Amino acid sequence: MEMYEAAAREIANQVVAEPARLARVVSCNPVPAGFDEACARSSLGSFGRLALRRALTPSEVDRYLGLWRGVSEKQTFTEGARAVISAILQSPKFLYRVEYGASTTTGARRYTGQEIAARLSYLLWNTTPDAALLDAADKGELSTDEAVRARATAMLASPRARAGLRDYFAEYLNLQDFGLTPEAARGLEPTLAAAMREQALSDFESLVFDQGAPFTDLLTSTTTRVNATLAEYYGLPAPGGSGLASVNVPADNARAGLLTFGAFLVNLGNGQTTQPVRRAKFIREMVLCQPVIQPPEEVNTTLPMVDPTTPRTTRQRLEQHLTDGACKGCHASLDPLGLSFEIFDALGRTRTTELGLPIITAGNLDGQPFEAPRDLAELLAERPEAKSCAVTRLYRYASGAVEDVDDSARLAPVNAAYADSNGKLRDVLLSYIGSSLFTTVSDPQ
Amino acid sequence: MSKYQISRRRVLRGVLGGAAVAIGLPRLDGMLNGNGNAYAAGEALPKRFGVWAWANGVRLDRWVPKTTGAGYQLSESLVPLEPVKDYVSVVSGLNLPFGGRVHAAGNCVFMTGQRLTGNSDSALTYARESIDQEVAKVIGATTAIRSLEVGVTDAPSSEQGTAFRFWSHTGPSSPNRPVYSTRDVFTRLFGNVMTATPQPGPTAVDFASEQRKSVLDAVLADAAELNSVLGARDKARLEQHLEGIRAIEMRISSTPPGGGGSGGPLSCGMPPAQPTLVGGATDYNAQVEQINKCMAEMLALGLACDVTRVFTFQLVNPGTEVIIKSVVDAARMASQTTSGALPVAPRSYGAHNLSHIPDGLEVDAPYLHAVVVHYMKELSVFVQALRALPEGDGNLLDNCGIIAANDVSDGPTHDLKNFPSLVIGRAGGKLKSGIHAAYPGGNVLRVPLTVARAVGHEMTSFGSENSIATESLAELLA
Repeated sequence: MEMYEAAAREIANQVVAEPARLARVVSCNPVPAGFDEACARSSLGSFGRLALRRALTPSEVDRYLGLWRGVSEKQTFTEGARAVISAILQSPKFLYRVEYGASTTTGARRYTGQEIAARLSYLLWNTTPDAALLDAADKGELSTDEAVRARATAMLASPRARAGLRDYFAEYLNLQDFGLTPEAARGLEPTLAAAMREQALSDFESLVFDQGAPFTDLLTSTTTRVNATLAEYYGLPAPGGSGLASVNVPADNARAGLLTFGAFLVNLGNGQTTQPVRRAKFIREMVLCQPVIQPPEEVNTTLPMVDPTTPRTTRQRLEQHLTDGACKGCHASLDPLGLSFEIFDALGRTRTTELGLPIITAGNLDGQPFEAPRDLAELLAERPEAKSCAVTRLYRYASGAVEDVDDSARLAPVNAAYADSNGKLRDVLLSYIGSSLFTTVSDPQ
Repeated sequence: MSKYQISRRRVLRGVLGGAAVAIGLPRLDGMLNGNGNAYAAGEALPKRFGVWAWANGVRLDRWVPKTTGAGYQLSESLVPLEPVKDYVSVVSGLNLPFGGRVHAAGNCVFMTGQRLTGNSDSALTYARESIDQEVAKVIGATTAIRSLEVGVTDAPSSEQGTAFRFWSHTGPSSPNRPVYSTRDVFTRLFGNVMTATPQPGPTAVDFASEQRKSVLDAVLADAAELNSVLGARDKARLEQHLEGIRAIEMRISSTPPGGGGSGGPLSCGMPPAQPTLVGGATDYNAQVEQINKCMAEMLALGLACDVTRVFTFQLVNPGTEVIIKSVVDAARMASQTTSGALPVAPRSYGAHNLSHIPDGLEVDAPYLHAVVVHYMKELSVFVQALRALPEGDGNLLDNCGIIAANDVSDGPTHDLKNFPSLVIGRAGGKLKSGIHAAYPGGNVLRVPLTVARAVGHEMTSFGSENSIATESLAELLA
């Protein structure tokens, strides 16, 4: 809480210090010296509304007017503004998204127009609703599912949606600071890590917004957006120009799709070892939505060191996973997947041998054989689980919660939308937004 | 005993860089009774509780002292603690229960007595508040700062859940983030700098802190309104939020502004200048040692001046990969054979990697030992800083109950048996110190239980499931 308080005070200080910024909060000009109720009321009305994402209630107005007046009388009107800004930014009603809804004639609680405006804005634009959106809410333009869907369509067409939905994919890949700070570069040169991050996010953006292609295409796509340095790092043909551009991956290249590039290969790991089980876990959990349980507590999961006189590949060192009765229950469905990616080292570079020994990439996905990562990706993309998982992951991001039994049933039309549109995330999003899952409140806990 | 009776609430006022500063005084002779162990009014001197944390385990064969009881012989790892040996007890042979995701499970279970919670690595967090917060509610209820979390280096492990980075939590997903900047620790402990532009004279500070209080009152009123419409689980979450706000109000209220009152220029020995060292390094260089010393001295002062009574001190984060080259290279040089052969350089100088990799001469992580010795050197600096401040008849450390711990036992295997813990200080006479208490097995959660009780929290147990500690460690009790 201290950090919130310090941040709120600092923001209030910065606003009050600049006349241009202060003018965005205090709506009268010139700023009065002593307390001016009319000015305070109108300022609270506009600033408070944007901050709390809805008009202030009468008791809230009274409270903040009281604070403004109290401070103004001892100091100045501007000091009062400072106090009110600081107070509003610390209010739980600002810090938390309050989604309480209102009862309707059908008995189910429906989110209010303002709550829906916030849900739309945070999901699609990853930011707080602007005045135009709140106006629409106030006018009742978000009171039917069809109207909400129409609004969402318009918002998706805005460039702000591209930036907003990138946040979804960054969370999907658990990118965190990867590519943003040198410390999080896993040992890569920071600009290279940054290029890998940008590659993943712009591939996603392009797929969803420009190509309208199925989400699972991310796994198998033979084009990707890289800059010259990154292309060389991967062993891909160079793009034209100096920035990021699309290149085609040749058919004989080992790489194709998300799982063969840095945001997956390097980000998941520690920059030192390939961590095939970790890679496999991502595939099971994020691509197929199949839970992977932790190893039993008493198991020592540290691999013993390689004796330099008898080199073994990672696959060989993990043999026990597939032979030991206690291990193979889980590992038989994990290791073959992760080990296929051994031709990409911990920093995402291609290699054909490990310690001088050949790397075997063949394996099986639940009994279906594959030769190399590209084949595995094809198999994954075709699985029905991958399709419903694409929907589930998006739903969890959008709703901020794991679906319960009731939600799963209500997700059926969204899954159908995925199938009908052949996996276009745009259509999936609109189907979700236009459904009762988005606009009505589920039972409180 | 001084002939002046001085009120305990006396604060020192001064002007620092144009902004007024208020600071609590340490216990002075005039406030104490004839024996120097209680206030003249009859209250005992306050006890302090803290956790000092390192990471990535130890080499158990070099950690556990070979002799037991009082006056034990320091083991190889613990040699740097020689100057403060009589204040340091070693507890060995107790095990950490539950296990779980490596590194995070160590600090989590030790601090909460419960397993990690969270359904993916990036979400792993504590299931409840940590023991320092529980203790702070009892012994830190009246101090300006309820608890202080200080950090020296901030190299992340490769995981992002809160349990991988922070020892202290107020609840699930609510870590108490350490402050890594010496300047910020200074300000938090000793400065009441209110506004961005300092203004001369004490009256400006009056308005600023009054304004802050008015602001916080409004926030609390707003929150109360919200509370009335929430469901049970959200109510609990909001209550946690409000607790934090009330703690800030307490902090502002207990350092009253304004002048008035006589009193000599007695001081807490305020640092001469505001330190500017920036902590949070990911590279363990020489400056880190200066930061460690500075943080230790400021924290000691903060405890002595009763600004806070509870702390956690993270020298490094759990599972840290902080680069620790100079220490390791020195160890390599020291191992140079007479023929001039040097051990092979480790392929990585990250502290976590060092806890696993061998070199050419030994099999299991010899560099880990050198790193642990270095951490103990830093701990020694810390303990000496506390011992250096006189308090009553003795010193500050006499009134502290501090646990030094880390996130695994055996570094190379991540094992949690024989969990290393040190108990430092005498908790106002409740704890014996300078003892090696060795056990043939049992629950290491008895260590935090013992120390929490020694500083005044009457907890009946600590732990969960079938690993609940209820008995203090009798060998440590005075």
